[in-house]
Amino acid sequence: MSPVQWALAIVVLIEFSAGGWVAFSRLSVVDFPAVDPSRTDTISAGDLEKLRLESRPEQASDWRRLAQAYMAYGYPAESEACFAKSAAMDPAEPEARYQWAQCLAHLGRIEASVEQLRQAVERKHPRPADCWYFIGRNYLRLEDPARAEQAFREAGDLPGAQLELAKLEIRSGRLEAALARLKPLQEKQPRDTEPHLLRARAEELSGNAAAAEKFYDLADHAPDRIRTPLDLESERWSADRKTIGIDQRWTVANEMIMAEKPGPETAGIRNLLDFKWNSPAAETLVIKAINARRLSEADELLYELTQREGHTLAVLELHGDVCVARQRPEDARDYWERAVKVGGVDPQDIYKKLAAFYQWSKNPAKAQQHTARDHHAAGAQAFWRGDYAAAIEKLESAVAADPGLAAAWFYLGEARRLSGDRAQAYKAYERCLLISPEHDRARQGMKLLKEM
Amino acid sequence: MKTKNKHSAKDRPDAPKHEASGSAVRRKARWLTWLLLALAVVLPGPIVWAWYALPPLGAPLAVRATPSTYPASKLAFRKEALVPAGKYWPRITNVQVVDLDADGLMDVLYCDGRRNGVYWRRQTSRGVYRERKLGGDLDIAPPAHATVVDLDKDGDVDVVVSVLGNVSPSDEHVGKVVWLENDGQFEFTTHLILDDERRVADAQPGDLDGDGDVDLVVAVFGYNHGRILWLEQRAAGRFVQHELLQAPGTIHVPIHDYDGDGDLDVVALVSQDYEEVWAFENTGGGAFEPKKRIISYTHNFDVGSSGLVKCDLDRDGDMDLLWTAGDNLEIFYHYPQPYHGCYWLENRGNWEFVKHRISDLGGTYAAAPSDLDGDGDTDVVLASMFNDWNVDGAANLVWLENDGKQNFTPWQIDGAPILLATVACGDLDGDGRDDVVAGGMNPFLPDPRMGEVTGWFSGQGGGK
Repeated sequence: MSPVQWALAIVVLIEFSAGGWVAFSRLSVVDFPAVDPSRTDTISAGDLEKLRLESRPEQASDWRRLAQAYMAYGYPAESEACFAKSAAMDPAEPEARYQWAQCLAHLGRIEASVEQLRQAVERKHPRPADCWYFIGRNYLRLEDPARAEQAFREAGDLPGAQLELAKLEIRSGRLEAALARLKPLQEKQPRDTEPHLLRARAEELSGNAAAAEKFYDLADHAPDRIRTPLDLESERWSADRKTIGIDQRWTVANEMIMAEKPGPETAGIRNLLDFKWNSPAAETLVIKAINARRLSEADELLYELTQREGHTLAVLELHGDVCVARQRPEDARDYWERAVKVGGVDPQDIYKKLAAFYQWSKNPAKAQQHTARDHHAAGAQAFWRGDYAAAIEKLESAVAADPGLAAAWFYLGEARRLSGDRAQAYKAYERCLLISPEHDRARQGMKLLKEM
Repeated sequence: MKTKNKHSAKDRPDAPKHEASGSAVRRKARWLTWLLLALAVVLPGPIVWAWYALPPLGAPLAVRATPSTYPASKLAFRKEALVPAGKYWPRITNVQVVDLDADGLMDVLYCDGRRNGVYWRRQTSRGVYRERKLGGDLDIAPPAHATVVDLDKDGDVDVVVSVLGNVSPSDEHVGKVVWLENDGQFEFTTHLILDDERRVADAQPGDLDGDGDVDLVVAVFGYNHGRILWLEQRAAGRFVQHELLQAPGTIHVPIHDYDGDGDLDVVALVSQDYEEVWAFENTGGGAFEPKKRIISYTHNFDVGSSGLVKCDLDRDGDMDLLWTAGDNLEIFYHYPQPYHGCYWLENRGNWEFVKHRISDLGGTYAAAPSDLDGDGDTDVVLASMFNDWNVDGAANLVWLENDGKQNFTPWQIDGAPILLATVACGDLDGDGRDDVVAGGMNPFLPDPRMGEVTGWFSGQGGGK
């Protein structure tokens, strides 16, 4: 053999060896676990299987991606196995450890979760306070308050951790410590309810009833809650879901709905409902069908909506809207009257429609009544949002339209009291009690006014 | 040139043969070179293809799942769909086995959060049921619990309904308490007892102030905000509110004379971020001891409290409590946890309640006490909402056999339908043994193993 041939033979030999190694490695490489497709919708199951087949088991990032997708669609055991593999292949990566820890905690393997969170901290996770927060939560799940407290202290001034510490201090009778912790938290986050509620409890246990009452009142009207790392986790799961499967389709579909694209896209969205029901989207499709005078399509969707959700405020409103489109205003009124009896979130539109109906049917007194209720509902909503100026404006309109509306007077009293207008608040409570003498919350409001 | 060529050939007699074989060798060598070259060029292709395209041929990674499963029940049950599952996901929030019309035949009363109403499945003759929605076309969206009580003391039973207003977490003021007043002929008129409240999970009746009428205790679950109220009945159907506690997440408020001093007290399960059982001691006339008591709690704020049922489990004459834990509804997908199950709070008197864990059923959502095997002690039936439903055979319904000394042995009744949120026991078929009725609630899983209201009827076997 010539030197050239020798050289080529060596190259071929090396290539054969490489081929053998590839074959061996493919033979021996651990495969991704498959999931039972019957446990989710067919679109998501198909996407998960596609992702599994496209993933490379030699790559840690692929294991992690699959782990996230499995977790997002309710396969925590399979997800955990993938996270474990990913972490083993890329041991220096802290985020993989952190997510693996979340998955372990989800599966109830709490000590293992703590271990991975510690590993994430050691590997310089960008949010060490969050890691410590979850370590603390895990120790609480193990009924180990001492170690939980240590972990929460490691989390520094993370509001969620401060809150947990205050709870533990109250539970163990360290009321002074809890109060000292809660006061700055209340100042820093005045719109969040938990610090006020815990402060009220600590004051009550300290025997300070007046202060407790004040903070219970503040807690009751605080519109927000403290954001914790748990909220971030929840958002991450939502985001993961939107990248694959049925939720990814719904994300696109919702964008189309928002963009008000008509025609075949709507049919595609309708098909999506068969895979995963989405009531707000279905409601929007009904409205679109009504607006486009496709009333049989609206009927069909509305029937399904009713079967799934029952006669809720929103569903009854839509039934009324269909009646209007069919020139049956009296039937529409019946549905809307029924809707306001059921009650629910955002009834203002229905009150507006009822007011318009009674205006049209030459019944101005009833129209006025419903206008008042519309303002009252808007005012109450603004009040619970903590927007007292807007609430007062709406509620004043409500009582002007219907001075017999006790609930509107009550909320007006509350909004004025919390804005510091004691005299006007007192008058509003008085009017409420005049109309409804057993309105205990108005009486309580007056009591709080006197204590101010 | 020609001569020279001839001569050279003569000089080497074997030359033609050699020449022929030499060219063959050269041809072979050339062929070998080409072959090796071809292999060297071509081989990387399949290798790279194999690397990327061949699926991994090793075994899939092992997966570790931990569903709650138990030995099959030694009591036989016959399963029957009392309200068959339809196309749509069930949302049964509460079931009860009661003889509403007092005709000696037990009926099923259930709250349906999908059809927004309280339904009475009346047993008209043995095994024959007729179903109707209470209050006619009244929409109660959605009801959490129905309580049977003669609220107006007119000699017939009425129904008090706790209205969540929204199954999803929310602080909106959509909760209510509704009184369905019975006219004596089981036609019901609706009255609103409480309105403009956050989500209401429970309302329990009792004469708290000892004035002879029926008052109510109301659990306003809410979400971030909530409270416990007692509503003092001043005139027929007119109530005055008193606040007992401000805290979110109260699930159940069972009323009883827990301290045995002759008046009714209130206990309450406060879940969400607290996971505590509170006691409100009535000192008489509806005056509650200002110092409130926490009679049991856990540091585990994720325990997932799901229910509190009063029951004299040890039959020692005072009222104990069954505390179930297994609610994971705040997260997308749910998994049984090591601390889920059922806890017995043993009443030792003087407001001392000792906690015993009597079951570890994952995702326990409801408990119903009953002497299921008829041996004279109280057993417990548990329903699971959040077992590992990815694993076939995970328990949905379990009964805990009491050996008479409050040592409990778990027996699995069934594994489907999954996602049971409520359970009740009563002798529906009149055979002298209690049957089990459970309701399903599926807010999220596209799974065919669903049921609305299902009955498990006691058969032969077991017992003493």
